[in-house]
Amino acid sequence: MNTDIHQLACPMLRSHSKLDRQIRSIFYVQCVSQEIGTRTYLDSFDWRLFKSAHVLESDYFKHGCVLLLRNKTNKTCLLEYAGCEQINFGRDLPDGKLGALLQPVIEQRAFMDTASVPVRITSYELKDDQEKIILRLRVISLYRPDSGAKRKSISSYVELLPLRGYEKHAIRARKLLTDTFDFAECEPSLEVFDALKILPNSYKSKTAVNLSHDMSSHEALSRILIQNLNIMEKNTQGIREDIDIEFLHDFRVAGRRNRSLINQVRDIFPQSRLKKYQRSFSWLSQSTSLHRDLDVFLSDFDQYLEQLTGEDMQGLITLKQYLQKTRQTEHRKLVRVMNSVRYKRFQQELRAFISSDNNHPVTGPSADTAIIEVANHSIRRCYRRLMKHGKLASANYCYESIHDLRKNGKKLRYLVEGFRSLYPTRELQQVVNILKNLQTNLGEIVDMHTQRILLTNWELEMNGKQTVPENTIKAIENLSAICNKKEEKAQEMFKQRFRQFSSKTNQNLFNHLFA
Amino acid sequence: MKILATYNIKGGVGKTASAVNLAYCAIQNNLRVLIWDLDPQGAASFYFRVKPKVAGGGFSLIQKRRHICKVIKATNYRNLDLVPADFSYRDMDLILHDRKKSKRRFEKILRQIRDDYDLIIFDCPPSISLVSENIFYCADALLIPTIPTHLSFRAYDQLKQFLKSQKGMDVSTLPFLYMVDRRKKLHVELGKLFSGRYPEALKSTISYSSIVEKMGVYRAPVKVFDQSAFVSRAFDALWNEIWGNVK
Repeated sequence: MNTDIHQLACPMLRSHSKLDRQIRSIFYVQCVSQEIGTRTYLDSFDWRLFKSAHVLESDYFKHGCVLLLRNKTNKTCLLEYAGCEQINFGRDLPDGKLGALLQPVIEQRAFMDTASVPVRITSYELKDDQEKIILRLRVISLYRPDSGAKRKSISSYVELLPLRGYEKHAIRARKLLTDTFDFAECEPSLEVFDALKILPNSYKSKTAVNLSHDMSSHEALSRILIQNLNIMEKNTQGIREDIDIEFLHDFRVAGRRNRSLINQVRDIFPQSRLKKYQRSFSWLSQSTSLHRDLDVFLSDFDQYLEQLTGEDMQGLITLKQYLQKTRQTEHRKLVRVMNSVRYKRFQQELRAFISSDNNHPVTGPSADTAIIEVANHSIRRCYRRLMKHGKLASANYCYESIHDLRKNGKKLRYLVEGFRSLYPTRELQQVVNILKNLQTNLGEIVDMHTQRILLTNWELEMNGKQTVPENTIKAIENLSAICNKKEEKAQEMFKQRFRQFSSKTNQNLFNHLFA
Repeated sequence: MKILATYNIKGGVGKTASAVNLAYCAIQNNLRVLIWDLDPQGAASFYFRVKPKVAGGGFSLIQKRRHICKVIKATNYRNLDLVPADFSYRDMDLILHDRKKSKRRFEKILRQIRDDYDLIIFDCPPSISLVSENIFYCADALLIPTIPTHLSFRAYDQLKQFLKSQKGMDVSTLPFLYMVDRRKKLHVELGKLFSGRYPEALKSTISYSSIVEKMGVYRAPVKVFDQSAFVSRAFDALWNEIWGNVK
């Protein structure tokens, strides 16, 4: 059950005391409380709440904390929760309500403080002749954090909090304030971001570079590679602090994109000079691979638990404990990699190599070719390879061919997404969707296969280090069997999916778009 | 969502006071609570300062002409809402009688707000009627405030017989002693008889207290105007025992 929440500001009343006086003069209210605390706006590293028009704000006072979740678009309060401690994930709230509301948006991401400011709140109640509260109001002021004793206001506004069954009083109050007293709707979170020079939604995990058809390939590819390097760099601190598992995921995907582009788009840079960077990308991929496998398994753990019963569940918990310990070790190794001289040097040298200026260009034979030509050529070649491998795999199914096909599919996707801005949006999205349809099936086969291998390896490892309880061995076997069944089911779907992918219509689309 | 109902065939035994005070205890334990004041007298509505009026009356709720969400009113206490009483509830039996599945109408109505509340408490009128049967079918437990007298025990026995005779009526009964005066020897003896005869009886009791009567003066749950009173703590203990049984 959501309630509307109205936030109104008046340009002439920018201080708390002025706004307070005005409200008391307009409404016959009783002041209930005055509080000073800290307001923190929370969001994921990649601004998922902001992108979905949600605002999550946490007000900390001496007596405790109040969490409020709002929808900016339809001005509703979705959740108000008092007495919470610091929350990192939606599941941290005792009754799981926040998690249930935000799970589709936030998924595995942690909440981070995007902005923290001092807040002053004066609360009022408007009552009828029976002393029944018919409306709650608050005058709220947010201040610059660095303004000390002489607080500098960022925003002062009135918040109208309707009571269920008495909404008309809030509507009347709002009308009075807007029609007669020059108040207007405001969004204080945006004012805070603006005042603190925080750019919401500034982080994007996907490559989004604006290219033009006649741009040189060298310039175009440089921009894409640099953007992916920036994405990697932005995620390193989150990896070090182990805030959530998506930091490593975004880091690895950005690295894979660059590695794939360097391999696929030839002759833009001197190939011999690129070899050492390809080795570095390979090193980073290997250094982070096990950690990512552990992250994925542990995050899906509850689902695995649901698939088992009784003693098997207890056995799986023993495995989980072992893997959590292993993850801690891997994480320490990962932090060493992030802090290593080799990684720092890799970032610096690759940037310098890519961004070489006109006086000292580091270019290959096709550097000056228009990017549209190079993009079309690379995508067509990759597509043909994918079709060829797909037909072979359809005719003669084996896991290795599926694995290679999936890798080729990813390479094609990275190319298509990297050069996205060169093509009409609608058609390109169709291509991405067609690819996704195939890749999802390939992913299921490969993931389940990998899962079985990992389970076997972990069982062997555990055997080497400790006595493995009987119920753990049984649980691993049963889970392996479940993965095997899912893999077989996905295998059955493969031929049909590839038929859809390689249909005449889709082939025409590819040929037309990347001609 | 759990559904409780304060119920007794006899009147003036503390149903409304119990409903109001237990609801307040529930919100203090971070539950979202709705009280439905089914008594045409509108005592619970009075305590919460809400006008005992439902647009369209009970008729509109039963006939589905008005969604229950449209009639719910927030009280002065966060997370505690009220479906107000209405004088037309006196005819509720007649309205229900004309409907199909007349004993399950309330179940259907409550489905509309299943996700909005953790607990619903019905404050029932004193009678056995079609309204009561609706409550018996949809409630998880009946909370039965029982004054320690022989007639009260007899009324409870009648209720139990009735519930036993109805097919599919598996609501549990949680009687508890109310308005107990330990200075009276009879109350003490009947208290022992009560717990011996009815194993389902709650151990917590509510003693007679003039503070409860002051609810009419303050128009609020006891804990709002006298947090430290013995009866406030008694309601806390009663609530904990009820919730432990029902959760």
